[in-house]
Amino acid sequence: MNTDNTKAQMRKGILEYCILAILSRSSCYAVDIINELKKAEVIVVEGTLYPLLTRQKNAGLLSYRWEESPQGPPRKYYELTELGKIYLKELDRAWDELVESVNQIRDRK
Amino acid sequence: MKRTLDINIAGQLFRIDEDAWDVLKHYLDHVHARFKTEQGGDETFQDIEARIAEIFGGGNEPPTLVSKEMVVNMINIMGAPEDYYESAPQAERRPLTIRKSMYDPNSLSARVGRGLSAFFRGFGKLMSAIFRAVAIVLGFFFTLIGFLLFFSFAIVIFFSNAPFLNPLIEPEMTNIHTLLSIVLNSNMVWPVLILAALVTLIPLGALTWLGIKMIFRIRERFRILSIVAFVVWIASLCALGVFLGLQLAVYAENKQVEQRISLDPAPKTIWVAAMKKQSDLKYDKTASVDGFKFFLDKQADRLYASVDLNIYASEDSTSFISVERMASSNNDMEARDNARKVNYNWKFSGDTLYLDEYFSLPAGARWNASMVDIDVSLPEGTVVRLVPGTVPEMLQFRPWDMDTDVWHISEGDLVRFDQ
Repeated sequence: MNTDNTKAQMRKGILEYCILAILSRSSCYAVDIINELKKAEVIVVEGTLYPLLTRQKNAGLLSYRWEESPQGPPRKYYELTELGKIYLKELDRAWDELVESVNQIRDRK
Repeated sequence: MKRTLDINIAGQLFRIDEDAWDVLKHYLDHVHARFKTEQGGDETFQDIEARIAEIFGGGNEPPTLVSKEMVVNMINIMGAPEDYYESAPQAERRPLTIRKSMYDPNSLSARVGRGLSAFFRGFGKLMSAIFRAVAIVLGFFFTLIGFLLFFSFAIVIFFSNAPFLNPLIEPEMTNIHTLLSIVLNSNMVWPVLILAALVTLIPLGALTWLGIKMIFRIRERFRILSIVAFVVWIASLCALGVFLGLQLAVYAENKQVEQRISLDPAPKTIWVAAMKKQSDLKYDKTASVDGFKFFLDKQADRLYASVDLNIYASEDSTSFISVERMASSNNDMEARDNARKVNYNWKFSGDTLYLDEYFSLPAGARWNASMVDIDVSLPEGTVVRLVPGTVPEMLQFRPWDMDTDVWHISEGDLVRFDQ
């Protein structure tokens, strides 16, 4: 059985959480987020990110501001809203619980 | 030879090979189709376009040439159209189905459409090139003509006193330099002229340079030169304001000294005769403003100027002759003294008004807005005649009808008198 598909599904499940986690440190330009996600091998292609950012922005979790770019048009810099910070704390807690639960199941003898 | 197209992605211009455009258009159509029904889909699509423009290296001048390899590389970075569906919420997910296109590239309509498209694209490019060439030629032509006219005008106005221009300019022509030497302190003429030239030439030069930059698409910015020019302009403007303010302060108060005689009864015909004539004056320089003439005798250090004669209908059937000598200063007393110093000869004898064509100031005295105003108020029916040899313009006498030397007061106006 091919495990790649399962791994991809697992990564997709945590993608939105990872975006919020990255933005909790500082406001970021989309490419900065992509680079970090690519480095962590959470996403492979960039196109996946943009609809997620729009969706999180529309949900009130993110906001953005425009900043001048050294070349080309201004760039959108995303940052967490207050709601996004609360939401991220809940996801942190849920993630810890999930990891603990999975570990318990996995390590149970 | 490969054909290229100019396209706009996220507001940035790119030049793209035709085969690359086919791939890119197909890709963008699919990505757009993916997002067009989704809430916020337009915004997502715009973000994706902006990123694609960035990957292509947008913002370059001349525009980046996008090849098919660059498009394929972009798709590898951004992901295939199917990858965009992976980020969709469960409810929105649907398998990627690429419907068979209704478009048959080999059909007659498609070929005709392509032909028409190519024709109009070529026609558009041709017209664009023609308009650009015409704009450059006309712009260059008008800039050149404008420069020539402007500098000729500047030379005549500011340097009309220069010896090399004297033979070319009519001696009676308004001479700014002489006029300023009369109105201002003579030591201040050149500084004021230079400052005025800087104040006018710097902005005109800057505007001209902007025009040239726009026509020839010049991108160079001479920041230090611009800052220096701006500072010089501001400093010149301030200095000019201060100089003129100080110089013109002497014109703050204006006073008149009037000599008035009543004409009772008024003669049926009044004659006007010139005594001392401007043509007999000896002077070095002359300047004029709207008919008001100055004559400067440098040797005797004396200034002469023309007078102003007005003849009009009396409002209450009384008639009089009023000669007002006027002058200014920065206080009332001095202004009145200056007015008294205006030397002007006139007399009324019999039925003839004798007038000098000019007044004079004492030797060494400067002009203080000094003027002589002669008002003659006459009752209805009075005839006004000029003694032969008297030129009305020399007295600044300008009735409506100038092609005669006989007028009369009729219905409240001085009009031509036909005997």
